[in-house]
Amino acid sequence: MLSVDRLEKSFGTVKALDGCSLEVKSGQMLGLLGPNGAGKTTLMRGVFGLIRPDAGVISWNGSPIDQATRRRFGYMPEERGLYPKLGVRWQLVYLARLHGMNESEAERTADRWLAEFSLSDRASSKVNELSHGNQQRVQLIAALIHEPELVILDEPFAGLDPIASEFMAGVLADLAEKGTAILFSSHQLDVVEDLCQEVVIMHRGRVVLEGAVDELRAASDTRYVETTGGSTSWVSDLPGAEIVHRSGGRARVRLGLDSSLEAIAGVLSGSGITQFVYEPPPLSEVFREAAKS
Amino acid sequence: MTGLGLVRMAAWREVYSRRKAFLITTALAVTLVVGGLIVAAVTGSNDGPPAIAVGVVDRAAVEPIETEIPVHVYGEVMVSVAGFEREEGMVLLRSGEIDALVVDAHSVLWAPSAPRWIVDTVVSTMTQINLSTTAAELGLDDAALAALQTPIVGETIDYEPDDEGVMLVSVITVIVMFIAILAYGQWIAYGVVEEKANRVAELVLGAITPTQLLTAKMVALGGLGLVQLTIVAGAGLGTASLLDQLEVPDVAASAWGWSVFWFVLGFAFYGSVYAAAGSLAADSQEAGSVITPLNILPGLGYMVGVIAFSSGADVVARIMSLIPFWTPMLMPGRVATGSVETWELVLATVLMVAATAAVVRIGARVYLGGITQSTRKVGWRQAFRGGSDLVTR
Repeated sequence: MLSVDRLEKSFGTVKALDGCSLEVKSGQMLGLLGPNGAGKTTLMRGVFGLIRPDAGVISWNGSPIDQATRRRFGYMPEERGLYPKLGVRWQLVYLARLHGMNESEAERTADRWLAEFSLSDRASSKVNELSHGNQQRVQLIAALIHEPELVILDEPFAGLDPIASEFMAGVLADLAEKGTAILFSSHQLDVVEDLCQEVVIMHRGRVVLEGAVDELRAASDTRYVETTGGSTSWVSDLPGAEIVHRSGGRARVRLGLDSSLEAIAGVLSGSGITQFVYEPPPLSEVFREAAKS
Repeated sequence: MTGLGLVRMAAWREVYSRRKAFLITTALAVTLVVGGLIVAAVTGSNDGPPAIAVGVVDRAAVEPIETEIPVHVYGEVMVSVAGFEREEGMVLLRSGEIDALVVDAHSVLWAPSAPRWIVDTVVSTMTQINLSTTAAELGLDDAALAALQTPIVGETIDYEPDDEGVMLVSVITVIVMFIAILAYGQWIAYGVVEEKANRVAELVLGAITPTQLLTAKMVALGGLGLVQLTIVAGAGLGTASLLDQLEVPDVAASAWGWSVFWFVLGFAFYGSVYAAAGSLAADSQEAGSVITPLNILPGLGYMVGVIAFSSGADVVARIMSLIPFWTPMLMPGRVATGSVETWELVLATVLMVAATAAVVRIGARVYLGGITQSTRKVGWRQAFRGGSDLVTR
């Protein structure tokens, strides 16, 4: 289990981390959300010893993280990092060996991952000869090739098309199922919502919200009613309700927790509505609210 | 994998990724050195030994003069003596085709370009011929004449100083050391910039400490530099001795030995400076503005060395060779000239080792501070402070 406890780090007058704490358990896939400058990348770099925190502790299974421990971690930095002029397979084997695999094991694993990612025919290509999507795949293999116990990915879905995103999400889900602890940051909240059971939202160097996605949504004091057909005259019958969107025969209405489901059903009946959905706000709104507060 | 194993792996990557550049530059350097020596040998052989051309008006005197001249010259000489009418001889003399025109036994005319040694040779040749003639007229035989002339006994001592060869070795040593330190130092710097700019450093630093990564770079590129030096020097010395045109002075071998010694220290010194500089730049575009100013340091040693060793003015080179910035470039050449006192060598070594130890530590700390500053450009001081954060990592 990765444990980050009250981490602090300042760069000059800028406080990048301000008492940030979180945990990632084996087999857990934790989404790290936060606006730009929230401290997500600094936190990740701290795990890999690329910055030294001013205060706080980062530990793995209860012990401080040293070089030997770090070699059991996998990292995908935000701005991709590979040797552009070296062959794909060559550098995957090199990185695997740096992380402790022997040569034949590293070669075997590299070949297996390349085949799995449909990149076998590009094994001897230089990285800078690959398309953006394929470079991203190689980058992911580089983070995973040594079968790490903890994988940290900084914006792994940035710049990927939906098919590539889905593919990458599938790979990560498989890994988590096999027991790997995964921490990743993303601005694509829909992907996070689909992929993670739990998220952490950071703002100004602190964790401002954390928990299961469903619980975080449910904890919001906002609800939405989405209706199909009929009129919207019922909206004025509910205190604080307001129409946020209307198009075609559909309407989306925001309201508070003070209107019970029974009360809503009561005002809706007789307004000609054929279908309605009552739901908490999406993760993106929870995220925005947390960032605002 | 042990720490040593990690360093070996990372060093192998450095060598592997530069294998083509290394082969090309080595082939180029060998071609230049060997080609240069061959060209020098071919054009040099056209010059041949020094020549002396003498015209003689009295044709009967041609043969005795031709026979006598070599006796009065030290070493090999091309002699051509021919009979001409006086007017014809004057024309040749003016055009410089002959150096001297012997008008009669007591009168010689010189070409304006005739060097001193030719004047001396012709004068002593004519004096000897006149002496023999007068002696014969007086009825003295050759033995009697020889008895009259007190011979001067001379002997060449064993040691033959090869000043020109030594000078050449010194100058070449300075040039080679300068190029090696500059080229391989820059390889380190730009390699560091590349790793920082494309963030691969962050990936690698998850598995290997910055100190190990820096050590791997220094060992790999310093090793490549040394191998290249050996190949180029070996090819040059081998070609020179095969062609038999240039005498390879013994000092070349000792200069080579000292070059290796100073290169190792010099590369540790400059390599860590260049690595530190490389870690400050954010990308290769701005790398030049950080790295290029550093080239002034070895450049100064190069300039002073070339001027000092080719002119023989040793004072500035002597002082500078004791200062660690320039010791690696100047000391091997000074050792070749044989002008180094033992205490100077000891002092230079002590200073260089101490300075290298300090610079490696400071350089490593700046490198740590710079390489981990993601893709930002950082200043020397900022990186130095940042490096202390990670020094115990």
